[in-house]
Amino acid sequence: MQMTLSEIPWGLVAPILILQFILIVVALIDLVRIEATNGPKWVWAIVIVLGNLIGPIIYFAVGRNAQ
Amino acid sequence: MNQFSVLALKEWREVVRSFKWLWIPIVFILLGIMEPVITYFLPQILESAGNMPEDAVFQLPDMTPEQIFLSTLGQYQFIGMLVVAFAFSGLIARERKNGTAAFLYVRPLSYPSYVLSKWAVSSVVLIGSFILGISASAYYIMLLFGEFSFTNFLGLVGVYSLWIVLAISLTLLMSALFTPGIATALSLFLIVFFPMIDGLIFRYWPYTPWKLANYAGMIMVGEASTSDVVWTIAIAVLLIAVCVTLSILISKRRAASVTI
Repeated sequence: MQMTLSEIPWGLVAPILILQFILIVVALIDLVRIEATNGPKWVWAIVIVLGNLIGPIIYFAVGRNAQ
Repeated sequence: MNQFSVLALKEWREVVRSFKWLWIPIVFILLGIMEPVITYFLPQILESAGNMPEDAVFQLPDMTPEQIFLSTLGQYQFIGMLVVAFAFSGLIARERKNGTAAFLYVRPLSYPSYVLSKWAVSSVVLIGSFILGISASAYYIMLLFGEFSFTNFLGLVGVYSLWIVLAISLTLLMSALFTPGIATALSLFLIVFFPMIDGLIFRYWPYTPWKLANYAGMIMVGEASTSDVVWTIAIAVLLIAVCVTLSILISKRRAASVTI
């Protein structure tokens, strides 16, 4: 049985998607505002957008710490 | 205003400016929600994602609410503690390196207020995030897996919060002792890696503070021995006091080596 789009319990899943989206947006805002990152900025932009949950975490934990 | 509240306000501004007040709670809540949801929908996920043969039958064990709490704690023990080590190990070390410390150290600074303000603000941020996250997890577990004992849940929250304070204290001590890179590496060892091998090294000594997270889970399941837990809590509190005191003494002594 393949699960179709309408069968997904959106009420349960929506908070996850919304929070992930907020996390990505906050990380991107921070990336734009910050002076320098630990490594090139455009790489961090890719990491944040494509890394779903882990991407923004790695950015905040490691990428912000410019020397 | 006394020095402590001034410095605590400075720390809080730093938390706001670096978005720590937003991203750390979100990470804890996400980890807390995803664990029950993924476990609950695992059969459907396997069915739609894996190339299972038509007649494959999966006998997934029935999960109790307590087991989901254990796996949520497992996530916090790994990803949560990684966040603590990376985001907080620069608290003192980086200020020494980037010159902020020089601004502070030329003033008549009370070192206890300096260290305690960092310790208190970080603890508040992390315990707040943890409580938000575990409550979100509890809500989902109640919806998907059924009722659990609320007193056990409070025990879990209390004991794990103490572990978080201990993790922060150890990280702060490393930060006071070493340069940023070394501080991060040692914090990772002390709060991410060491709890994993603690079970091997101190197998027959039930009171090491690194077992607090295990005890938090065991309290939830209802298998914890009260005397073990009480002794471990006492030792953990003592260790926290030692860490904070040492951090104060060391940052005072290191003030001379600050670069501008």
